[in-house]
Amino acid sequence: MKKILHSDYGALALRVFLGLLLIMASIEKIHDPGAFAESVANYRLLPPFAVMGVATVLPWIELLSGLFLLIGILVHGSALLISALMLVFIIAILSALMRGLDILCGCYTLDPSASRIGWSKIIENSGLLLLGIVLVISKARRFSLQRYLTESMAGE
Amino acid sequence: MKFSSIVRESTIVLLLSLSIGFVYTYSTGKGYFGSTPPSKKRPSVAAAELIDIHKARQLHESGQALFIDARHEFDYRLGHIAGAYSLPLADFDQHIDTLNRFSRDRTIVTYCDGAQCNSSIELAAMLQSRGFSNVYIFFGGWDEWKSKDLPTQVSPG
Repeated sequence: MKKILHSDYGALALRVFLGLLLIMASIEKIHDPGAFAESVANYRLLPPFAVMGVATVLPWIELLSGLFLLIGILVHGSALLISALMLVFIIAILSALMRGLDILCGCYTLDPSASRIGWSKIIENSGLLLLGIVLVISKARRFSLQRYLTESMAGE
Repeated sequence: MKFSSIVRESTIVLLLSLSIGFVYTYSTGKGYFGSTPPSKKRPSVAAAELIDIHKARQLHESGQALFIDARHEFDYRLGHIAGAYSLPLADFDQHIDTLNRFSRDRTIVTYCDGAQCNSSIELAAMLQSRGFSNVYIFFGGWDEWKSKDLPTQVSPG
């Protein structure tokens, strides 16, 4: 188990998967923060000013974390941030489901025909949370730009 | 790696995201710095007419309009507008045969939970695309109907 957890190739695969997923999820939201704010507002959890703040910053957290995971900079910090986000998403969806809201997820796309919130989204986000935690715990450091830069500077 | 170092890294990513996010939206005039707050925008998915509670009530009392509930069947069973027909958006194709029994000029009113959902609008658009010409969207939906103590019905499964 420990071997898998700290495997360099396993960590690289996880980083690429999560990195690409996050980048993909952020693009449409960055392009149209107003539409994303509508999705956030639909959850009816935040006041309007906070909704816009979330719609402005959250896509950039996804994009930067995704990029950092992909190239291997601030990997553990990005993974922790994403894990925290996934936890927030799970709570938000759970709360919306318990209040009987029938709303779009606003997860990967803002297309009105995209998937709505449901238990499948909770399972999906729980899976991503688990992957994030694995990356936070993992000691694998190979194939990362941060390690390459650290070693280069130490060698000089 | 120490947990405090990991938290420090997270803070760096968070601060970077905050800075870039606000600089980007400020320079492009989007999001926080956009001209239209999200709550002021009206959905533009369908061309069907949005009606308020008074018009919805009028149509309901006339007995001529067919009310269609676009929410999940589970929610419908817990309570719905009296006489409404359940057609969850995701099951639209399964209901085609039933819909074909209705005249294409029949007055139809779609609704879902209320302002926080879009399924009534999407359903109205789908009905229009199937040839129904007299479709209205009761935008206040179930929440507003219930709050006014108008006729409701429970359909346990």
